[in-house]
Amino acid sequence: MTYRTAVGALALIVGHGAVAAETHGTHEHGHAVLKLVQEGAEVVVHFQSPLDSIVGFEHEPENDEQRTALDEAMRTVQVAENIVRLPAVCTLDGEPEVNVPYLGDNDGDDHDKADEHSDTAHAEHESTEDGHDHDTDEHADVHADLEAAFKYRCEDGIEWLEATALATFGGLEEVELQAVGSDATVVETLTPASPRAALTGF
Amino acid sequence: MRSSAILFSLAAKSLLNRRLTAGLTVLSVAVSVALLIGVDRVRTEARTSFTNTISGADLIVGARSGPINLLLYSVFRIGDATNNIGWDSYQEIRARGEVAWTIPISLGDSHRGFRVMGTDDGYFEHYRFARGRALAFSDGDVFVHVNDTVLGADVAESLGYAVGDAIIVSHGIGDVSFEDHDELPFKVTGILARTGTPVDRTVHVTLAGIEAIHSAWATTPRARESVVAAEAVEEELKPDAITACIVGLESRLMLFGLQRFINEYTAEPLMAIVPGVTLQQLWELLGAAEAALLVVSILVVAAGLVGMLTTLLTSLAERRREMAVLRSMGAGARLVFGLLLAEAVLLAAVAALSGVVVVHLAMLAARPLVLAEFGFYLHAGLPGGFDLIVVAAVTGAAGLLASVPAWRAFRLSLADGLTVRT
Repeated sequence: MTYRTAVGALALIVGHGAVAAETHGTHEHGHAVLKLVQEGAEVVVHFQSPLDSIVGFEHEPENDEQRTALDEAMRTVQVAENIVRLPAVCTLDGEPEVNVPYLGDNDGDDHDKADEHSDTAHAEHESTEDGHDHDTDEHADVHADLEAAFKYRCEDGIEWLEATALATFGGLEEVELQAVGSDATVVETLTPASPRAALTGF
Repeated sequence: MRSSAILFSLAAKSLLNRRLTAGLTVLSVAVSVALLIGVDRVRTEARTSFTNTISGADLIVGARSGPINLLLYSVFRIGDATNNIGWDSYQEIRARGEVAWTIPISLGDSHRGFRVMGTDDGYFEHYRFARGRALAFSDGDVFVHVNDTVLGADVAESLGYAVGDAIIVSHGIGDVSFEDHDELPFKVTGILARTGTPVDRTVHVTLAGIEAIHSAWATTPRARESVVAAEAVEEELKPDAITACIVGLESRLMLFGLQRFINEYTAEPLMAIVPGVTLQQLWELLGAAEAALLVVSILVVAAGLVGMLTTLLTSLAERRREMAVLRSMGAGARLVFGLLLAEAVLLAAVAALSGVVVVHLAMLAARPLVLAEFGFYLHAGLPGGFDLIVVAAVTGAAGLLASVPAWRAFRLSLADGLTVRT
């Protein structure tokens, strides 16, 4: 089953199903989305990435190596610093909420549902575009996303944000930042070469 | 100081003497400068205006299509919706705990070229523009009855409507309507104060009013009474669907949670966008085109300046005598050099300044057209920093370029102009 810890407002943000991307529009390997929202001193950061870019596969673990990779990913994303860094004036508030698909053995409904979900268009797209040998894979018809949400308190605004996930996970080529504050919005594509965004007006 | 004053007055007089060529040179440089400044102004004005059109809205919900498309048709009335939101889905979103208020939007009709929008009281209460300004009435009040209508400032002004007038709303968005729903006249109950946004060009009616236009209800005797409160016929004229809705949240922290709920909504394919984020994505999309336009206009300025250099060089041949007379009267070679530089700088400065003036006047003139066609308001503000930079750069570049003919004149001997060539 999926490992989840829920804290207040975070409960809504992270998906409930094991395969979070089932009804999502976009899923591009190497491309993660980092959302930040600010209300007064409260800040919520949500990270969503294709599982493939984190652990190198996107299906039920088939051997011990893959199971270890998922456990490792779980441990890594629990630590906010591995995903995102904010100025020192911001302090983490509460536990992170994390969703890593296919984690654990006693799984039931979620995965069956995912496997039934047949989307041939996606399967074709994958096998032609990202070079992975997905079409011989029995799980080729599903996408899976890893998600993590963190809550912060920033009393003096947020001057900048750094997407440390780009350094943590070699499979990530870019992170799209969408930050929404009371007076400002910042949308920026962050890359390993420039992982930091200035949050003017936050 | 004194000598440079003499220099510039000499240059000005010399230019006046050749006013036709000088005038044409000024014209060509002025046009190029106007183009450069115009491109930049329109770019920044469009951004400001789009940003100012909606404020305080957390999400915009519509049928699943493209985020930019949804933003353009719901807020800026540009383009059309691909699909609608079911009334039941709208009610479900509206009833959610994290939702503080909603504004329904129902588009698709027109009145003499102006868009008709069906909405409810929430619009007048919650819609914000230009960093939090609320809508205000310049005359009259909010609609109450099925066939009441509230007009935007431009609609009332250009069609000459006043509170109490009766108007016919028709189906479709063209200027000419073939199928007038003339069974049901609408009464103007209010006129909104000018906002400088597409609101000014919108005819607002109740959601029941939109239904009434399209149903047989309009022909019933009850409709003729024209005092039917919209609420009284709510069930009878309940819409099946709306085009989009604007959502305000109790707390912004719930933003991405609700967005996800709507994007994953299973009863029908819906999409929720954060207006600010989508607007940024739109700018990103337009960024390359804007940069290309800017580069082209910079090149046009360069072409204008090269044209000026050509004119100066050609005129040198004709002015051998003028130079020689100056030299024979005691002017040094340096003065001749300075004179040509001063001429070029004067020409360029006059041209650049006229370019700035022209572009600001043109924007003032184009404002109504741009608002009508593209949905944004061109503020003809005072010349800003960019204008100053352009004027300084063009003048500086002209001075630099003019050093070529000036150097040639400097090198010409005194005898050159006085000797008659055979």
